[in-house]
Amino acid sequence: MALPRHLQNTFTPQELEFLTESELVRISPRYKFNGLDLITAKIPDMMPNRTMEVPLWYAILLKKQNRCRMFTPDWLTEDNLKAYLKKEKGNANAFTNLPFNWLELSKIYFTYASDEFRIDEIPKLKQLIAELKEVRAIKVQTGLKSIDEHYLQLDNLSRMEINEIRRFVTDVMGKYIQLKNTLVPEDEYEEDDEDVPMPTVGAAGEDDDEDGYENEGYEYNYNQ
Amino acid sequence: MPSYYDLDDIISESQRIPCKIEVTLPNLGILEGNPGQTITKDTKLELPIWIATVLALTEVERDSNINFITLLQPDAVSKKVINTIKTSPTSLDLHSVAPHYYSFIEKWAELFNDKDLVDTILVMLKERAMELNRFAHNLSGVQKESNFLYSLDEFEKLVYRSAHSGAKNYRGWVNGEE
Repeated sequence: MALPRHLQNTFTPQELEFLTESELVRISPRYKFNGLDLITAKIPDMMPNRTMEVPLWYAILLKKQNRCRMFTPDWLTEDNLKAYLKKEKGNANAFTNLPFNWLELSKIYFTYASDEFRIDEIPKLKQLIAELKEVRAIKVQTGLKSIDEHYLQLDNLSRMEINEIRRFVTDVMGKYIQLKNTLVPEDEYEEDDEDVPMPTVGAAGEDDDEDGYENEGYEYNYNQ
Repeated sequence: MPSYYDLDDIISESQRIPCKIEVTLPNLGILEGNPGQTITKDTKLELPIWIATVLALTEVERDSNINFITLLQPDAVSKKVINTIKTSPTSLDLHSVAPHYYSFIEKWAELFNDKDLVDTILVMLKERAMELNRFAHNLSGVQKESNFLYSLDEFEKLVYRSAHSGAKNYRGWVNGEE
């Protein structure tokens, strides 16, 4: 693989932010102009003061030219975030159902649509987002303990949070699988072929084998 | 399977394990450091794992019960190390036991199909992974008690880097670095 290791099997946060920009958001244009027919999105004709849905990247483009108002998402208010935070703290075993890209969205709105929030609201919201992230991060650490070679279940974890732990989880799981694969499955174990050479492998000479880990009599099974 | 080009895998193949020679080998004294001499039967030697496994499997003659060598128990799976792993996985200095401990265990377990050993190692892998994840997310903790981080084996170092870069990338993004 030509990519450096830190870019393999994972996204950078910037890439996730980019992906989020294709989400549809509500805006209200200030001018009248024609729509666009694109391959991935159909942008409707813009009428002043009409509410319409456009991809986020288009909304940002208009917003930068001050050609529209962006409506902030329902959950991105002080009250709602406080409610989420309370719910998040109330249940130690589950994550609240925030949008799967809440971190990306909140950052984009704070950056490009800061004038759509009330004055002084943004620092409070940022604080709440950071707190939510913190509480969830602790749960992630706890949840990771249930990792094994098959799966790891963390419902409602957002894309950014998954991406943060993705490489750690895949590395550890990969090693789990490699170690498990060294064992011959039990059912095959029974049908050990008689013709396979079965050398016995001795243990070290000066062994006192009273307790604990078995030192002697490694049975040799090599059915490949 | 690890990649063919995986340097760590290649290095771990050359870890030496103790074994006993079962037949007299003329002119192979070079293995012991005495070139040109004969290695007599029952000599104990340390051979790289890649050749030791093959010799342990190969019969001297067709249908004879003698193989070239017998594997002896290496330190990495000795009772002492295994008991330490069972008691307290995170306080063991894995790197000094074997720098590529996990790949060594993989090869050893593949040879002997030792379920107990693998189960023990899996428990250790999980506990140590959780511990290093904690370190990777908490920078001040690293400076305070860094002994654990020096005890990581090569695979765990890789995992540590993964865990740390995940957290670091996220922090960088939140703080608006490109």
